[in-house]
Amino acid sequence: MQRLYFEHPNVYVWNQDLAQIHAAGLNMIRTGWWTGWDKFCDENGQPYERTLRTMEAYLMTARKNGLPVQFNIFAFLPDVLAE
Amino acid sequence: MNAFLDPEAVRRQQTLVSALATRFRDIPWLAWDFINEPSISQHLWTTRANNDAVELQSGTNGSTSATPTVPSWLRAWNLPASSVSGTVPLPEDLDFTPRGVYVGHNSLKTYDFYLFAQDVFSQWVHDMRQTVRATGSQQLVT
Repeated sequence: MQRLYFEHPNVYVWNQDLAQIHAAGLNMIRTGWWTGWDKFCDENGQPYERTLRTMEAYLMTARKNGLPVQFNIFAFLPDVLAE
Repeated sequence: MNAFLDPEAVRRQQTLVSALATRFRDIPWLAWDFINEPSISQHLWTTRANNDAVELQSGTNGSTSATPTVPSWLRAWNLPASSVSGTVPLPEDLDFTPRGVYVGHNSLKTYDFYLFAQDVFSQWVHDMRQTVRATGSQQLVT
């Protein structure tokens, strides 16, 4: 899954990648948001509707492939919403 | 703005966390994971002070009744009262170096900053966890 997977969602590719991960014997996936916060939410921290729908698509794809999700928020410190 | 201590920053973070948890709170196989590689300040992957006003006030200067006052810090660090006027300064880079003590820097202050940083992390995570729980989510928080 490429680095900008959330900013440029491609559920077809996600489905292939997650199926491959599951087939390799892994039984969960850890993912999250690392960069590009301004693409996901406004300066007040409110996520855009497209953000929530993208996440829903991701979670449904993970579920389809039998992978529970651990979703990480904030890469190093929560400074993205402190500027 | 201090990412962990400024109330406005924390409010924005809680807005984000609350919105996500509200939308997805009923998914039992989803866990919320807070901060990938936590750093206490802009100096990533090191425990160093930001030296901003909020941190200075919270760290060593008696911002709450549970926080020691300036005179008690000076006693704990074995420093004369005359060495500080106003707020107690946060440790500088040289204080953190292993050989800092050889040139007169005070490792006790550094030790207390490490404890302070852990308290800040702990309180922040507690607040975020409460934000998740307030949505009705019983999901795992890591």
